[in-house]
Amino acid sequence: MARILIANDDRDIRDVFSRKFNAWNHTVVMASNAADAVTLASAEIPDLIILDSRMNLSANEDVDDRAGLQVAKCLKARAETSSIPIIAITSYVLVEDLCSLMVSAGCVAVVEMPITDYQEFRKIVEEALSGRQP
Amino acid sequence: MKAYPTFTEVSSCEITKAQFLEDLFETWAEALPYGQIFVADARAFSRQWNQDLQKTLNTKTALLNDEIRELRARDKAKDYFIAEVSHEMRNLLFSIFGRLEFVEEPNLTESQRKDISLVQSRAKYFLELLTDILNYQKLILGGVVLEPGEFETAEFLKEVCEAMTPQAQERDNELECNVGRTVGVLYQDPARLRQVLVNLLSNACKFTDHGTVTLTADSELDMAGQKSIRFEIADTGRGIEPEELDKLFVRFKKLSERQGNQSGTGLGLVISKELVGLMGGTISCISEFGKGSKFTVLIPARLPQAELVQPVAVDPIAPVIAHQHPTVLVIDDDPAICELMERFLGSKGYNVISAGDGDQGVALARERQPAVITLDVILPGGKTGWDVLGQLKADARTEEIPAVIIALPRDRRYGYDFGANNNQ
Repeated sequence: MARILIANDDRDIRDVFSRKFNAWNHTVVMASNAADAVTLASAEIPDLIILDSRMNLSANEDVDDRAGLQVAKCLKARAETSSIPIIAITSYVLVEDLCSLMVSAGCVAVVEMPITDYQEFRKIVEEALSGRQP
Repeated sequence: MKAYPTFTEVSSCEITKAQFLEDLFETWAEALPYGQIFVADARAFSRQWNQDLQKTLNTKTALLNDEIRELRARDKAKDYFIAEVSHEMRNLLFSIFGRLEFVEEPNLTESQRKDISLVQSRAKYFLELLTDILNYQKLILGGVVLEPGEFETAEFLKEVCEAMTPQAQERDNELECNVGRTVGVLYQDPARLRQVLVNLLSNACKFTDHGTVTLTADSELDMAGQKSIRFEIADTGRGIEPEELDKLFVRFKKLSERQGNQSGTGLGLVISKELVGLMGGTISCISEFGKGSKFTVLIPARLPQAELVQPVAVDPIAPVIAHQHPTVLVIDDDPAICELMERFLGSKGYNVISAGDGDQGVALARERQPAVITLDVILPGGKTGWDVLGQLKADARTEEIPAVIIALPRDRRYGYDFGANNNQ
């Protein structure tokens, strides 16, 4: 059983993830923008973060294609959060090489939207939690 | 008395285009004595004309620059729009797939279960369509840049087949993989090659029931000693009707629709063809309706360096550099003739390259500067051999290259007019 932070600006996506994780016996905390994600990750120190690459920067700021990248960089730069594994979630955006940028920022895996194979996704999650490279 | 050129005489001059005459009428309208153009001072006239021309040119250039800026902005806006829309669509699909997961199987009636499975398969089709459209858009805009790397072909193909096995089993098909021992290492873009092979294998599995799908790979050397890999994807499925074979690689033609097949976007083969072209290769298909189909992908074992810089160039003939052996360019649409020439001239120590039509021939002649060109008279496309010869002789880059016309006797006399050397 692990605690997972879901950082995503889409309520329905958060809901689907959280139900899925609950079904796999994990608990969840949720953030709906980049700033909240950083705050929550630092306060809660979850075992894993499912990070959307594109979110609102904060409650008052606009959507940014690189918001997730900024969150990942920020968390990896702080000692207390640097070891939390991050799985990045991407969909088609205009940022070139977003996948490799997310990996260089320290994400253990990049999962492309939409997820159609939950068995495969679960494997990635469990491997990230066990500290192995998925 | 001085004779003035008449209107008709002036209009037959080379410089008198429609626009010019229009300008002329405006400027010298008063000097037009009833149907004749009065040109008093040719130098002043041409100076004036040049100035006007320069002015027009400047205005038009400025306009064009504005238009280019506008178009670029619109293009960017369109890219942004597509990114936004597809992002939204993907997120919605996530919800659909995700929520379908939560529907508890045991509580469902048979008909509900059927509905759920249909929603699932339609959503999958939607996703496929979305992915294909984005892929295709990227491809035609030249946004796909190959990322070549070296990899062991046999190992690579084994992985591809393993990944495809579940799909083959859906319709009780056997999936076989045969790799020739000489295939060895490839220097190509593995992700793109996988995309092509998966597309072809997936099609084969889709159109075959209780049969066999075979992936074969073998190497071959062309006349210049360049190694190519031939991938064959053969199935024992329903095959393709002859009249549909021509439409296979055409945009948005979905052959399967009529046969009740619901999946597939009709873009897969078009995308595969574009990708194979980027890799410097060719793709083709033979099929016997009711018995099965065989798709052949032929790509160079090593991606030519030029393809990396200019990914749009689709040259089916890999560039070769031959220093000692003079090159002969054979322009002929009959592969049997090309092969004959290759065998005959090859045995005499020539390096033979061939082109299947006029445009390709002219382009190859410019690029490769062969020692001799042989030219067929009847060629596919709009150009005859004579047109091609005219084009070669009109171009400084190719006019010096001796050309040998392979002609029927009645065509002979034209050859000399164009400067072809004594034809055989």
